[in-house]
Amino acid sequence: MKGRVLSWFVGSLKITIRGYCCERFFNLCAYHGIVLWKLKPLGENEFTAGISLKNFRKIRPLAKKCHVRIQVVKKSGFPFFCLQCRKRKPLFFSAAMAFALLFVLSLFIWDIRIEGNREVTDEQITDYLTDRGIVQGRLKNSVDYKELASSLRAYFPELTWVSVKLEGTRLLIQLQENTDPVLQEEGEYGPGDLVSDVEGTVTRIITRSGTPAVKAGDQVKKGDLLVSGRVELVNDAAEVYGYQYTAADADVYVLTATKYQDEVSFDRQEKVYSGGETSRILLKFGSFSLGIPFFEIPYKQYDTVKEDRQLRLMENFYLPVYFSKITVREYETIDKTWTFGQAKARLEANLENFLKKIQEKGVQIFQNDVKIETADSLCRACGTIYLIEKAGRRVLIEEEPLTPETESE
Amino acid sequence: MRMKKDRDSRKTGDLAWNTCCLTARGQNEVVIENYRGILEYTPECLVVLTKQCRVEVKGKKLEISYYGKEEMKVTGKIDCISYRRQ
Repeated sequence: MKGRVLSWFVGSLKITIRGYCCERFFNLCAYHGIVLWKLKPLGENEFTAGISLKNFRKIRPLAKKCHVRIQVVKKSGFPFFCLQCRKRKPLFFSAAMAFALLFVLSLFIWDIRIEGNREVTDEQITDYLTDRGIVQGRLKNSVDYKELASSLRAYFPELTWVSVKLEGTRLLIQLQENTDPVLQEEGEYGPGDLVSDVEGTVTRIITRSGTPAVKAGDQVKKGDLLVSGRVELVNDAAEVYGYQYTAADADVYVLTATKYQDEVSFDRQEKVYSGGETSRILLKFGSFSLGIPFFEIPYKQYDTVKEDRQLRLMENFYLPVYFSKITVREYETIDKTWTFGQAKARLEANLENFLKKIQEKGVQIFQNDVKIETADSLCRACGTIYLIEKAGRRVLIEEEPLTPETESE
Repeated sequence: MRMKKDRDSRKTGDLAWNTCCLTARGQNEVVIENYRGILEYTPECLVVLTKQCRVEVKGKKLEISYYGKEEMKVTGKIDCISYRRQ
């Protein structure tokens, strides 16, 4: 495929060769590095072959030497196309303009893609980029990518690795997050305590550094000290002669209770699609947008589904042109009454979703006391969910000198 | 590993003893390397001169897909490939 495209660009010819020493001519061509292709005998002392335009200019003396006659049968390729079109100046002008426009468009960023984020949302990063003026339409050369990566790391402390690179007209930001707040690298923090950020009962504590202030079975409230960053130094007589300050680090698992409540009404309004549907294409270029075809939506109640697509030439060559397909579907609202079973199934599905989201955060579900009951026109799910979650928030401490009383002791 | 060794020895053999190298793929394609030139070419017969012998390719509707200094590829319905001492 690549060879064909190249051959088309350099131009090629189909020739016929007539004479008594055609074989000698072929051998001379080969000797001079001239490649012939699709060499085929047509009759006695007559052959046809393909040759590139560049090589065709070299064969005249060889043909003369071998007493063969060369006749061009067919010309193909870009040079001949240009020759054919030399009188069509507007065509060349518009092609040149199109290339110039593409070149100018390739100087800007037209797509920003963020990958690898879980906790930090796309919106947060996009807002930060917008504040810094990095938006679609920004000149590619005016962005310092290394500086942007380091500033992203500084602004979002949960990011452990940031890569900012440019691929075509797309700015690709790849991130790696540290979702475990306790397991941070030592040395990043100064001396500090670990305090509770939840309320409940401690089930397990594994201390890596610092002095534990709680043990399994203790009740803790928000703000209670879990692990102290101050380690007492004692002498042989078990007297405290000083303190060593460190960044407290531990895995503290706390059993917490979370209230859960959800309700659905038995009286429901449900959408029934009538089958009426129209669609149109919206072409958007910057702030200019054009809908094809123009029409008023003929429905009273309808849903609109919009699919946006950005125009691109190649995988990473995005252009500031968007195509949107807008589909409008008509519906009617119908009053319906759910049975207890239907309502219960919905509530159970909601609860399952809720628990799934919690488990995704690494929280363990210890007990689930949620009950489903009816109340008037409502079906209600309420109860308590007991969770075992990792607790701990760092609080910096100031190093205190040893009190005179302690010193005197 | 063994195949690679065979291929390498074949290449060095071509260079050392100036032997021609023929690669036939099925009945429709032959690639000839290390030759000196074409002696005769008709739709039924192609005679290629090599440094040690003449190679005759006989068949029907023979066509040279490409013909260069080092290598040529012959396509068509090939019936017979024979070698003749010079």
